[in-house]
Formats: sequence, C-alpha cells, structure tokens
Amino acid sequence: MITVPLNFLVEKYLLKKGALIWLGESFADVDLSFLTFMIFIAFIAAMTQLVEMVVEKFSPALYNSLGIFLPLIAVNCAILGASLFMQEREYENVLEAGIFGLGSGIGWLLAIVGIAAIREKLKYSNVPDPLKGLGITFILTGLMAIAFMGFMGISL
Amino acid sequence: MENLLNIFVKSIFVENMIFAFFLGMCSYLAVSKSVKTGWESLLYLSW
Repeated sequence: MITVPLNFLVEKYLLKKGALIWLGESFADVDLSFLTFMIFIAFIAAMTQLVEMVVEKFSPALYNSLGIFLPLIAVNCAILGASLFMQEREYENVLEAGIFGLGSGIGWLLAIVGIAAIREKLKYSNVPDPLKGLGITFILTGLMAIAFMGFMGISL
Repeated sequence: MENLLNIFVKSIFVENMIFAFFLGMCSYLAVSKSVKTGWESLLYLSW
C-alpha cells in the first residue's frame, strides 16, 4: 500500500496543528486538519491515476481485464479507511504506517482468495434457488467473519 | 521491531479489513468469482 505512508507524511507535514512550521515561524499555529478527508481523497485519486497509466503502458492485458474497477479504486472505502485508521491510531513513524498498510492489504487479499476458493467449490453444491449467487456469498462472508471474531480477544 | 511485527499481524488477522470492519465489500464481491481473478487483485495491494 502506497497511500497509507503517503497520507501519513501529508498529515504530518501539512494537516496537523503546527505541521506547517517548516514554512516559517508565522505558520506555527495554522491548523488544516479540517481538510483531512478532501486531501486524503485527492491523494488517493492521484495515485490511482498514476498507477493506472503505468499499468496501461506496461500490461495492456491486465488493464483490459480490470476494466472499470481500476478507476473505481479512487473511491474504494477500504483504501480511505486504511488512511483514516492510520490517522486515528496515531502511528509514530512512516515505517509503522507502511507496515499497517501492507498488512491490511495482505489481509484483504487473503479474504478474497479464501472466499473465491469457496465460491468455486460452491458450484458442486446444492444451493437453494433464492440464495444462488450473491445471497450465499453474503452468508459465507458472515460465517467467515464469525470465524475471524475468534482472533478478537488477542491483544498484541 | 517487535512493535512492527505486532502491527503487521494485527492488521492481517485481528483487524482484517473485510471480516472485522466490512470495508471494501464491493470490489471484494466483484473479484471473488474465481480464484484466478482473486489473485489478480494482488494489484490492489499497491494501494
């Protein structure tokens, strides 16, 4: 994840109270934190555009198979959510923020591959008609979420 | 170092984006049709 450490730097040097002190003493008590959401979204959209251009240039096949999903990442709640969690938990340096971004990305990938494997196996099972397709996927997601609740008591 | 490892494991398992917070469900449902498209979402990791 690129955007989490990036947004960490943005918050530290642009948005927090007193963050603009590097511009000079007179900026010491400027507080731009009310701009957090707009700036975060703007940076995410910018990164999305950048990576989209790179993918289009170097891997047209992947670009075509992703289609509409690539620009939609700009408004993906998980991406903004990661940045907002990063801000809320007050990670101390850019390394911690980066590790958090990487970890949540891997967790997300794990969830997708897990549910995709189950959905492939589901072709051979006898699902009731009204639940076919999306319905049974929601139920499966709920069951997997209950399984992941087992980790909740662990405090690291 | 230990602190970083804690953050890493925590963000994968305890505070999993999808199963703990249900964030990012739209793309999750869209690319989980088959395992192949699931792995292709590796690209999403770069964000």
